[in-house]
Parts: sequence; C-alpha cells; structure tokens
Amino acid sequence: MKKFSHLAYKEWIKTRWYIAIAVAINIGIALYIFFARRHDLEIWGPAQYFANLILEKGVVISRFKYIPIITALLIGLSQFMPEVTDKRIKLSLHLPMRPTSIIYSMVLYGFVVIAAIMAFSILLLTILLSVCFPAEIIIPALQTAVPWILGGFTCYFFIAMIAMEPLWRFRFIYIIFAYFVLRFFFLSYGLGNAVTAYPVLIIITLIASSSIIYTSHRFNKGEN
Amino acid sequence: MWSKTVRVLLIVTAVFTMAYYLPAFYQKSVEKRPYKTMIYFSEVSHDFIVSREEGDTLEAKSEMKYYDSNGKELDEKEYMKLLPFNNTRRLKIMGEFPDSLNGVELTPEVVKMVKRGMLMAESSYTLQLDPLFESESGHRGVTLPEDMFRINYNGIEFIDCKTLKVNPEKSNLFNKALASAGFCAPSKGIYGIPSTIKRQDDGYFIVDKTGQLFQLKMIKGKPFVKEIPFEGEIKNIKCHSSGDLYCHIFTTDSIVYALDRNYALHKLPLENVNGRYILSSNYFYNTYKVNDKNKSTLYVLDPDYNFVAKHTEDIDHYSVSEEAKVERKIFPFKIMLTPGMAHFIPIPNPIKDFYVLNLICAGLFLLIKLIRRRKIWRIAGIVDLIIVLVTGVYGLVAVFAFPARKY
Repeated sequence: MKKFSHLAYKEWIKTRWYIAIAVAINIGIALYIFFARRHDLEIWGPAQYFANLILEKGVVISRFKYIPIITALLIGLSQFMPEVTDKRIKLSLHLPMRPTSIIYSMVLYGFVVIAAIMAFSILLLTILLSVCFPAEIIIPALQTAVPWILGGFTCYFFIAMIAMEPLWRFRFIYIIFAYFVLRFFFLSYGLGNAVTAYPVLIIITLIASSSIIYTSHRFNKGEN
Repeated sequence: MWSKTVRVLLIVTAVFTMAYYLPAFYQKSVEKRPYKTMIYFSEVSHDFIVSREEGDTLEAKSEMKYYDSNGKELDEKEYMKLLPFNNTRRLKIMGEFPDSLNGVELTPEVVKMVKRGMLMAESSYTLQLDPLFESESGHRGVTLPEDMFRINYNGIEFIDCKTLKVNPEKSNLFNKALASAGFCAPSKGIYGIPSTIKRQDDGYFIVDKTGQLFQLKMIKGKPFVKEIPFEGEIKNIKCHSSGDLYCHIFTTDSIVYALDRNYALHKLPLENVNGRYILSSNYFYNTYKVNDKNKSTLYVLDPDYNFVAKHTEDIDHYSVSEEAKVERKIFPFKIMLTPGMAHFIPIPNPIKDFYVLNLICAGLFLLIKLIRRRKIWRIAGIVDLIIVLVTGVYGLVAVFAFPARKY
C-alpha cells in the first residue's frame, strides 16, 4: 500500500496541473450549461421551454458531450506521454514492485482521478440543473451522458494501451482502432435511447480496461 | 495467459467494430438511388394505379410511367384525373378538377379531409412530462398551460414550470376523477400531441398500471376521464389532431386498431410486416401502405375501415441489387444500430454466400504464418484460425492487428 502511495505521488507530480485544467474545464462547462439554460428559460418562458424540450427531445447538457474525452486526454497524455517520449517507463519498471503491478497502479491512479472528476462534474450539473428543471428532464439527460462518460474512460484506457505498445506501426494501427471504437460512444443516440446501448458500451469499456495487459506484456518482453 | 485472453477480447472488439463500419462504408460507396414504385387507389375508377420510375437514375434521365391494374400505360393527364385528391392543385390550375365524384359534391370541406401520415408501431422515447391543454377554450387552437403533469406512484401531479412545485389542489381534483374512473397509477404510457400547433385538443390516451386504456382531458378547468374498453396489450398509440379518428392503437401482437371519435374501435385488416405504415385517407377511402425490403403493399379500406382491396408490387431495393450480392460474399455478417432505441443487432448473411472468401482468408492466414515460420498448431494459432474461418475478412485483419507473442 505504501508503495502504491509513493507511485501515486509520482503520478500526481506529473499530472497535477493537467488535473487542475480538467477540473477547471468541468466546472466551467457546468456553469456555462446552467447559465445557458437559465437564459433559455428567461427568453422562452419556463412552460414554452419545457414544451420545446418535450417536443424536440432536447438534451439540456448536450454541451457536456466531449468533456469526458477531453478530461481523459488531459490525464492520459500527461501521464503516459513522458513515459513514452523520454522512455521513463523503463525507470519506473525498475522500482521494487512487479512490472504488472506498477503499470496497473498507474492506470488505476488515472482511472480514479477521471472517475472523481466525472463524479464531481455530474454532481455539480445535477445540483445546478435541479434549480431549473424537474427530475423528468434531468434524469433522461444524465442517462444520455453515460455513454460519453464511458467513452472518456475507454479513451483513457486506450491511451495507456497505445503508450505501452513498443512498435510505432502498431501504435498507429491502435490509434485508428481506438478512434473507431470511441465513435460508438458518441453516436447520435436519442434522448433516453442510449440506455439500450449500455450493455455493449460497458463490455467495450471493460475490454479496454484490460487492454494494457496485452501491450505492456509486449513492452516487458521488449518486442521489436 | 491473461495477455492471450485480453488479445482474443481485443480481436473480438475489432471484429465487432469492423462489422459495424465496413459493410456500411461499402454500401455507401456502391449504392445507387433505387427506382421509385408507387401504388395508388383511384377514387374515380375504384382500381389500383401503379407509377414506376424508368430510365437511368445514375444519369438523371429517368421518368415516371403510369399504369392501370391491367398494365395499360396511362399518360400523365389521365393519371392525374384518376387521382384527383393527389393532384388537386395541378388539376385546378388546368381547370380539370371535378365538381363532384361518385355523386358527392367536392366542396372545400370534402377536399380538406385528405390526410397523410406515417404510423409507427414502435413507440419512441418521451419525457414523462406533458402539458394538459384546455380542450374547450372557446377559441380556435390551444393555449400552453403554465404547468405540466406527470403520473407516478403518487398519481397525477401538476408541476408549476416556474417554481417546480406540485399544485396540490389541481392534482387532487384530477386524481379523484381518475380514481373514480378506475385508473390505477402509475401509467405505463402517455400518448397524445403535446404541441400547440393543432386545431383542437383531444387530451391524452393513457395506459394505466393494469394495462387499461383511458382518455384524460381538461374541459373548462375540470377533469374529463373516460375508460376505453380494450382487449390486448398496447405497444404504441399514434394520435391525430383532426379527421374522424382519435388515434391508431398498435398492440404487442401486431394488430392495428383505429379509434374513431365515437369511441368505436375498428380492427384494421393489415398484415404487419415491419410495423411502419404510410397512411393516406380521403372522403372515399383509407389506404395504408406497407413497405417490406423489396415489396410494397397497399391496403384499401372504406370509410368504416372495412377491407376493400390490396395490391402488392415488387420494388427496387439495395438488398436485391448486384452490389448487395457482392456485399454478402465479402462480409459474413454486419452489425446495425436499430433506429429509435439503440440496439446493436448482428445481421448474418447466408453461409453459402461468404464461405469461399472465408476459406481464402483462412488459407491466407496459414500461408503468412508459414512464410513467417511461426508455429500454427499451438492453441493461439488454432484460436486465430477459428476466428478467421468464422469472421472472414474481419478476423484476418484483426488477428494481424493484434499479433500473438513470439514468447
């Protein structure tokens, strides 16, 4: 546990400023969404705006769509880019822990950070929107955001997988693979309809979470 | 061991991803606009008329040809005169619009009875919040109220849109009316037209916890609740704001009913193909068109929704084209996202179409392994071979994108 806390501190030093930027973006977008919806309510009047949402099946947090993936990119790249470009990962793997434990501790750190930022962001959005909207509008909007959040996690896991891949030609293939897989999370699911896509998206996220085992194995064996 | 398991999972993900994108990309690259085939029923000859697009759609040199039910070609003017409600404006400009038809004077009211629309048996997602309009406001059209209603375990609740607080007096008033009509909360489905763009309001058709159907509307601020006896499990209701019908009711066993404004239910003699119907009605007939993949059927019903006639035509569709045959030879299956609810569904092709290419892919896989001097008959190699044999081109790409370790 002590070793993990030391490793987490190492990761914290690498990522702290990027975490700060991600938190700032998440707070900023939550506030923007709140004030934009307040403005819409003022302009249209509450009844007319609710009627518009009912008829158009509008998602009140549509601006949040790419925030999880931006958060994942900030944390993932800040954590793994130095390891790749400066080959620092070789130093890390010489720490007195098993290589798999080191790599999974790094991924766990990033996952916990992103999960904490997402939880905070969703909580903030829910509190702010509940000032203006009933649960019947907020809950379907949050259900629609679940694939975006799962997409953020999947993006982070794929960054880790690609960073650990020792060969550039395979890195390039995995970037294309990750792009097309991530598109599943950002398809134009209608309001509330994304619920039926959850099982497939959760399975993809779980497979992505284990993907680093494959490339780190290649890395450890020094494939070229 | 873990690494090998994860590799197989990544290959499966890659196969799933390719099965979603590649066939769609192929179809987009090769698909031509299909020729149009339309079926109509003439109020003049009381017989079917078919219009077919002929010529070259690719060169934009196609034109519509019109035929009667005996296959005799009609000129455009004859076609228009046989379908006066489909060509009202052009016939009026030409001075050919009839004054009467089948002994009925074609007044503006009769002409206005023409209605067209799309009916879907699948219900789409709705927010469980709706405005209850005043149904007898004394003026044309409807006015948006300042509150919305929901029906949950507490019964009906009216929520003020500004304060988001429940209006207890109005909620109690409507709850008592619903309870006295036998309504059991919560609702399974609320169907209506929550828009102000309609001539009149007929309220909402609500399915209660037990599956019973009710109509709820507000007349002079007071609740109006009517129980509508209905056998069967309701899947969806499509409401109409004008005409002789309140709504079409779709059941889970694929039967369609029409509920008229006297609360009489008419079971429609339609055979459900894909749950989508194109409705067209006028003073003389109600027609429902059902398009299957390569067939189109028009059902003709009289004003009392009794069967009159039906006619089926083959239609041009991508699935019967040469390009689609090639697609079935290349891809063993494809993944599609259902419209509406987001279900990823696999659509397999017949094995006889793609097995040759799958065998070629497997042969190619073995050849590459031999050239690279890799051991094939290890567990990882056999698993790869099975993946390639089953999933063809998808598998071949995936196993080399995620190669097995040398170690």
